[in-house]
Amino acid sequence: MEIKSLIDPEGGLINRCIFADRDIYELERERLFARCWLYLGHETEVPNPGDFVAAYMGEEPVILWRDLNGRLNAFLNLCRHRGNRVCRADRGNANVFTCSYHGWTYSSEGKLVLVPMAEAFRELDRSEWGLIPVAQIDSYKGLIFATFDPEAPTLAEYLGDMAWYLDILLDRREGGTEVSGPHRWVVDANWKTAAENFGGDGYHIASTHGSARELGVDTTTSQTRQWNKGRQISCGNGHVLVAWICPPDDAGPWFAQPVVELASYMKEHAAEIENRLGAVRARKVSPSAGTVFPNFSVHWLTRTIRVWHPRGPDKMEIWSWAIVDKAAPAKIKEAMRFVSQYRFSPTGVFEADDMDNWIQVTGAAHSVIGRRFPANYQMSLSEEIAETDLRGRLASRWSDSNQLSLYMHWAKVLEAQNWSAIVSAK
Amino acid sequence: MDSELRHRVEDFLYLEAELLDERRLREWLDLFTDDMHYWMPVRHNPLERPKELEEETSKPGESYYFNDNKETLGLRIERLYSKTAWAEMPPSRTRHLISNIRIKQDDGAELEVHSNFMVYRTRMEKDQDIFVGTRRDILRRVNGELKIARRRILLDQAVLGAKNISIFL
Repeated sequence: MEIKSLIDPEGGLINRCIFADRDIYELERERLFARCWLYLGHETEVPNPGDFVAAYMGEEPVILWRDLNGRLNAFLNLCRHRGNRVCRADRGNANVFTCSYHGWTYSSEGKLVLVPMAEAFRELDRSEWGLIPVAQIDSYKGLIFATFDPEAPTLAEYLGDMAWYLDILLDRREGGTEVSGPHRWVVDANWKTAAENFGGDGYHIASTHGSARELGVDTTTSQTRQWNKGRQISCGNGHVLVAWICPPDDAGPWFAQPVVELASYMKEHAAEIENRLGAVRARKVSPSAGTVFPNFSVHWLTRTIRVWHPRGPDKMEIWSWAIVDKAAPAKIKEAMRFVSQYRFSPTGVFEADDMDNWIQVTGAAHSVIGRRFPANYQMSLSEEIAETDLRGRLASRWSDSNQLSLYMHWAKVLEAQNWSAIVSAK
Repeated sequence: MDSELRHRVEDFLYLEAELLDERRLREWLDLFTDDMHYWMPVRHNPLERPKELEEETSKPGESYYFNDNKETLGLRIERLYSKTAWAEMPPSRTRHLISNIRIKQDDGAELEVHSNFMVYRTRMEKDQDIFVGTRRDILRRVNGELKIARRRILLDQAVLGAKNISIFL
């Protein structure tokens, strides 16, 4: 299938079959989820030797495991013998995992250390039957990513300019961040509906989240939010975010903060934050939401991070965490977590309303008649963009520029035979 | 435990279920004391069989589905009466089945009451969800009436099988 023909960036049209087609989905599993850097967990979830959390890379179950020497590893959760999962817990601390089926036992470095009745196997070289490791694992300011492709660029290269914006959430205070969660839930929607929404859809807020705004739940630290001074920002490699440009006299990036204590916490640490981030990121640019390609999204405003795990073309499993400054006092952290989970979680007064939209967009991709008519991605308010001190390619907030660059990159990755083809196709 | 008290507690929980199923949510909120806490932690699969059930649920201050006081729960309810709370527009049809009611303690002022729930939700054409779990309530006697002062809701699922929880348990 010619994937690029499904995306028409000049016309602003997308063939909605990308949200439903089984062949495209299988291609995504091979070429996208088995190749890209994917989010596994946060360093504060596995601080000690032996600590592990169960995670997924696409549909692949993996174990993120700090070995007894303190090094982070990630392995496919699959016994090399018959394929049973070696770990059935969601998190904990373990020196070894013993497969429940026949007792093959693996060390935290992934080595096969014990095979019951080993003498009955002909020439079993245990060193060749260790757990299947990821090809590369690395972290960025607490966020741990991995890829199954040894040819993938380094994580720093992969994130590119997106890292500069992630810092606005991750690097505000000494010590970085910590997470709580995850919330995990299953939604009958294609994972891309969510990735694209977080990647730039400032447009849906007024309609989808009208009720939360009516009740004043979307209040932020800013008293002077300029709705039109927003930017879609495309960082390359499919990474996209939407941000506001704060007025010069504003206190800087806005966070959802209904309680006074949080506002004074920010004021109290304004100097430290500006010292770490510089004036532009401490005061001028205020990201609200974004997507690290392909399926890791961030909501700066309410301090949540999440993964849209694919579960077939019609289903995803959402894993969502609240993320707060590690150095904040306990009471402030608790307030931040409440702000986050009250808005973004299965019970979230914002997030609960998103689900049916994504489910029905996915459903429309199954409509024989509906598929004859492309989906509209033509929003493109033309506007003078003055912000030369920001990174990435900028467009108006009222635009589909981000969504189109995400899908253009998606098509490129699906068509490329290998990483060098992805990089050279730039 | 005297059977009159048992009947009162059962009636109270059944009335509460009726208010929820009839979507009389503002009246439902009135069943709570002003200093109430409505808390629903999340669960995970442990590596070893825990000594206490609490070891596999999130602690206060960690993550949760609900961690509301009367004001924040009230805001959730008022949101549903607006015209754009799409998760509940059109509204869910629910059936709260409450069972296994046990009065664990009674110090005269407050009762600790445990109950199990099976909540069926259907919505739009054929959406269906079943929420199953247990509740641990502190019921307080206020001017001769029972009020809910604390509620801890424990869902049995680790990965929620529903697209959202836009109803109350």
